[in-house]
Amino acid sequence: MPEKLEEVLTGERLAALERTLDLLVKLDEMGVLETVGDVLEPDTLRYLFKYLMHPGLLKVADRLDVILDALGRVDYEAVNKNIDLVNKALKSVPEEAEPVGLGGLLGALRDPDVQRGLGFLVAFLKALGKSLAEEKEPGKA
Amino acid sequence: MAKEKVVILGGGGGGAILANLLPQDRFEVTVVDKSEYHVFLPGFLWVAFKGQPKEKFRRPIKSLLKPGVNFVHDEVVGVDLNERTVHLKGGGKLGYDYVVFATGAPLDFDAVPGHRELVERFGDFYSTLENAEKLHRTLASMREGRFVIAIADPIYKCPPGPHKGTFLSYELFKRLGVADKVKVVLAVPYPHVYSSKTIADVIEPELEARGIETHTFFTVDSIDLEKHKIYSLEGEELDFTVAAVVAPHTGPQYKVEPGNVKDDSGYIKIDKYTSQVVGFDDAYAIGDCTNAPTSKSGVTAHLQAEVVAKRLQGFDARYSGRTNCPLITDGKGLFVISDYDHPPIPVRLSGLKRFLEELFVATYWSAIKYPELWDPIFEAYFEASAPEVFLRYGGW
Ligand SMILES: Cc1cc2nc3c(=O)[nH]c(=O)nc-3n(C[C@H](O)[C@H](O)[C@H](O)COP(=O)(O)OP(=O)(O)OC[C@H]3O[C@@H](n4cnc5c(N)ncnc54)[C@H](O)[C@@H]3O)c2cc1C
Repeated sequence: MPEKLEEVLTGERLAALERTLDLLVKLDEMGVLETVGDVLEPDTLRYLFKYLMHPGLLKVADRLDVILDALGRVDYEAVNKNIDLVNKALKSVPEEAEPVGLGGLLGALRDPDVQRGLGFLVAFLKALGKSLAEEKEPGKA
Repeated sequence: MAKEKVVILGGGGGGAILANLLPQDRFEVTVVDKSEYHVFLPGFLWVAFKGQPKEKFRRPIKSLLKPGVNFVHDEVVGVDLNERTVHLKGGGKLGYDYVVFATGAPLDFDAVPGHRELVERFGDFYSTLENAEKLHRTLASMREGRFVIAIADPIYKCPPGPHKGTFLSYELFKRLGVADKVKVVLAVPYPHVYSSKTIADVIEPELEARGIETHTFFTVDSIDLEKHKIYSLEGEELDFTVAAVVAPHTGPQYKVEPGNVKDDSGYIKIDKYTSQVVGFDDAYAIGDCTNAPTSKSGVTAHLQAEVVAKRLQGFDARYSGRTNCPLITDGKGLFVISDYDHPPIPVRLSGLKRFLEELFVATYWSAIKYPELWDPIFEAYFEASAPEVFLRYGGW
């Protein structure tokens, strides 16, 4: 162990110490030091980590590579354009939808809203089928 | 009120944390260890396979204990639970109100013929930092041949330890540019490459992809250093150029009165939830020296230390048998997560888990010294990743 202050405070350390002290003064003036001191309590940490360490978050964090890969390829313009549509439709689905048989289906088809929805679905199915075919044999569809 | 005297035998992973957790206004805490140094055993892997300096993984026990905790540097040679007395090699005796066994699981190099000579020649990655350093020198000079990792008894510290050694040695040979000339071989006593089939299924393709040779149902029985052969109890033999064999572990070697608190293998018999030594309400045992039916791991020692610290303060606390043993490859890692009620849950190898393992290693000394900082973090982690929780999420 060095005995004297001069042995501890080499030129390099003195420069670093001066910068650290300036930084500490700034943090103190802004009240950061006092606030950090107040927040650093075992119970605050306990609740913070309890909140952060959600099993879902651990799972998401573990698959961040997979998720980012998928998210990076999403067409956000298309999502943005259709998101209100999907939200509205999801919200208006009744808690328990009535079961529909073949007869009921024929009746429902007379409803213009169902007709519009079906039109959307058919267009969507066509596009889905096309990309499925393309995935199987690229360039064919 | 007079302080209660707690004597902790061993200042390793379990003992040091327990000593730092006990409030000093209630307890007078004494740690006894035959070594002046606390050794971070997982560091053996970093020394043996990454060539890191051994000093990084050992610290004076005194420097890890909170001011106010007494440290006695002496060897425990006997404990009389009826007389409440700990006998020391130096001739001294310690009385106590509570005693906690935390002396770990020493290795027995005489159980397997030829083992002592093998370690003297090549070193190993399970016994000491010096032997880990020696193994690194041995491996770094290998240019061809077979490096065999094998196991002499299915009960050993950190069940994925040999597997970590396997992956890390492959990585070392790759860095040295001899991975195509040195064959890495892993021989295990169980029916699959890992004792749990769930975990074996995850790592088998990884071993295969690296061209690592594996052998199952291979329990080391004897070693012939001259013929360069390892023989198994099951009647097989394996050739090696260099080999590292995990030695059989034992319970405390010192005498404990009454003798029946040790089981047939010499481990201290405890209640698996409370860590209380059977038949004594003033004696506990934690970590590798107990007969608890869970993995011998640092996580076990740590969680049992927390349970004992709480119980000594009059709170009800129980250890669930939770394990979190890491298994790492060059770029990815997984944790073997289980408890008394759940076998290992499905997990995948991932970059996050590899990073977390590196973080655990880097923050080890801090976790021992400042349990009040780390406990909220560990508590939240172990709660969120409990087997019954993660099973609802289809694993981790
Ligand atoms: C290669 C390897 C990798 C590992 N990796 C991991 C991992 O990744 N994660 C994990 O959780 N665990 C891991 N472990 C296991 C972990 O290190 C141990 O389970 C843990 O150290 C057990 O703690 P303990 O306090 O019971 O014993 P130890 O840490 O072994 O401490 C025992 C102490 O008792 C002292 N002692 C022994 N006998 C006497 C005596 N007669 N008198 C006085 N003092 C005595 C010793 O000197 C020592 O200091 C690994 C182990 C190895 C070998």
